[in-house]
Amino acid sequence: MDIVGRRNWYFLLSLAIILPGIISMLFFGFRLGIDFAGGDQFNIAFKQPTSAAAVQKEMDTFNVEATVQQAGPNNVLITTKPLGTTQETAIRDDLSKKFGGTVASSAFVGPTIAKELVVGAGALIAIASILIVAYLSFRFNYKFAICAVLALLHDVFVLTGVYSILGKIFNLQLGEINTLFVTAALTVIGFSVHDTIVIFDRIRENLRQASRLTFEQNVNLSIIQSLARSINTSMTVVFVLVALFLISPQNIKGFTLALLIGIISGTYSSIFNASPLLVVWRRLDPR
Amino acid sequence: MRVDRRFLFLIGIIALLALFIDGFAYVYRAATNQPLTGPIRGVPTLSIPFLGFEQQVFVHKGLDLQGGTHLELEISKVRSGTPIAEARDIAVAIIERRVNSSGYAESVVRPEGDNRIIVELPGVNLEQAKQVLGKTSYLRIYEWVPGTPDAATLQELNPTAANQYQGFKPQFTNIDGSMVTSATRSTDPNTNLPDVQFSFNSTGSDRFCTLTRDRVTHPQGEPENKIAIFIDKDLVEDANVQSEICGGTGIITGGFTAASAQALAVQLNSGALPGTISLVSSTEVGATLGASTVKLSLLAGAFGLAVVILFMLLYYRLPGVVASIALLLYAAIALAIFKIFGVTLTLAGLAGFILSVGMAVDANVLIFERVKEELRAGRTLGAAMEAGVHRAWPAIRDSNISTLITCFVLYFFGAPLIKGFAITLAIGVLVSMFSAIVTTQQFLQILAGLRPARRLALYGVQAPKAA
Repeated sequence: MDIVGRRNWYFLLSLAIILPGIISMLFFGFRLGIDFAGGDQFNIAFKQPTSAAAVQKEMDTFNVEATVQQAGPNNVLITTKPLGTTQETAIRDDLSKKFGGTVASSAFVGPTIAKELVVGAGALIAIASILIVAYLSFRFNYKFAICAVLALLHDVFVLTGVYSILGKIFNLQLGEINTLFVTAALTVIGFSVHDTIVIFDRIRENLRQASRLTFEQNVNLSIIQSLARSINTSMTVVFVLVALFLISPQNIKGFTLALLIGIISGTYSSIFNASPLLVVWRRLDPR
Repeated sequence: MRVDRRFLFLIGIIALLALFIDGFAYVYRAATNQPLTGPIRGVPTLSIPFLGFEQQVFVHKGLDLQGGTHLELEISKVRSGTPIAEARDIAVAIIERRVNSSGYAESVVRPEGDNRIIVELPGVNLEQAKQVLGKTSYLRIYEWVPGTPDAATLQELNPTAANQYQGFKPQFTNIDGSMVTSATRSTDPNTNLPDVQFSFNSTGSDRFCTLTRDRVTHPQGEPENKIAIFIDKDLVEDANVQSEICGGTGIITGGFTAASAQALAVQLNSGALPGTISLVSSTEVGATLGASTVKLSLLAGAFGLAVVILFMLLYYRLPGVVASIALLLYAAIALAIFKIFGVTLTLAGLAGFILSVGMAVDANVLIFERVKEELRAGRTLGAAMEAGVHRAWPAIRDSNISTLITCFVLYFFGAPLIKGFAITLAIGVLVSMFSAIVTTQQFLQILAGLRPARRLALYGVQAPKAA
């Protein structure tokens, strides 16, 4: 199997997935959860099946920019702009009177804190990336470190791109960007680097042994030797995540989906991007 | 490398300890004569007196799992002259008092940053929480008269305090906080402890004078010699009266901290917080939703674990058995750590833990793949296992350290939700490294020493033809 030789095809495949996502991000942005956008959110449980449309009609009378979504046969999720206590109580009372609904969960995020969270999320990813580059430069060298981070950025772009498309173009609540999504993205970063390092470790080991293989052949050999492990490990994690995704309640489905997409992308990028990138760099700069 | 008895001993001790802590609720039930099922009374606490060790042992569930309300408050428009951090601490003390006097158990009130306050109220919904926060404290002075407290009094006051003297009941003296004209925090010159001095208006002064004159006619130390000062429901002071006090001032010494004394003084002055408190965020989870989330997560965890074990058994055969044992041990140790260190488990935390199961298995996969390679290269079983562990180590080390770096960043810079995730993932990664390096390695060495375990087919490898 010649993975390194076909590297341009694999780079192309990555681009084909990332580009639509980037376009969607640029033109449509993200569907922000209330922890980033600010607002009130209620998960209302009813005793009998109740349609989101009926609740939406009722909510429209309050004029609070409400969107109502079905979260289960007896559940709806209502998102509004930030409400005051009086308005909030009025809405709760009204829903309980008209539909017999009780609040299963609610969340409120004021505008000040939402701004802080957005800044915080970006900073977290940046700090984590810098520290990982530092560690890898120490263990391997800076070229390995930068290739690992490029693979990591690949995964971040795949993930955010897919979520921009899901949330904005398909208008799904699943594609919402919230604190849990940021957690998922950070986990994916950790996992992606983890995966890349295993292959890099193999390259490092093979390079130390004197052999007649070229650098390119060496990298390819290392990828092949690590392939069973890469796929098996990802499979086990994917099993766990699919289980989580299928039975997770609505509020964390988006989180498990993000992990699932990120881990699959992370496995792909470690095998098909990170190590072939080393070869590209070596060709441009053969020192 | 041979089987190392010291390591086996260590694994055994750790496994037993972990199982003991995991099952501690049952040990506690047995020790306190409780039935093994149904709700548990009291908090399971492990104490080893001669080591000075005492620790509550149970899974601390986050608000999203047990139901409750989380509020983040911001203090602004602080009265001039008060530094913001001081105003924040005073507000924390006031809110703490309000929350406690409402009888909400296990609630948390803590400062966050310069001007924020976090309030966590398990089992309380948002409406109730807002009522509690809006409450003002109320001071009332009681005297002890013969009789037993009636239902109304028990409703109004903390029953334990109201019932503390057999045959006596507290009776309101018609002196309350509205008669207090000023209150200041001061220090008791004898004990150096913080106290609160206050002065009355003329009505309060007259009543207090009559009250104390009346009290001194009773023998020292008798309940009828005392006056009881209640703040809200709580008895903060139950003092003997040595002489009549007619100067219109009083002192409360009730085991205060500097901040709580200051808080009480502020409240007695105005009944108000030291600035404007506004809600910046809140999260409320109903108890039913929390319980169903726990059930789902446990199901996901069990299912995930089962699938991983099945996969390992089918793919790696005999080493798969080793991996499965190591994995179960790993789960038991991680759970024990959560329990003994009181790690608060949230939904995100559970996700981190379940994810770490996947990562724990990776170390095993790395080792087994290497062992297979070495076997194919024609090494003996013992040598292949040793080389496998040895060669897999740099990859395990570097990959796990990079995950720990991510956890570190998440923990120190992340929002509370993210912190929970980072902690469980980090614990998972650390335990999995132990489980891979010590447990798996030792078990593999034991296998290598067993004659029936030497058939290479058991490892999913065909014997090299030359051998």
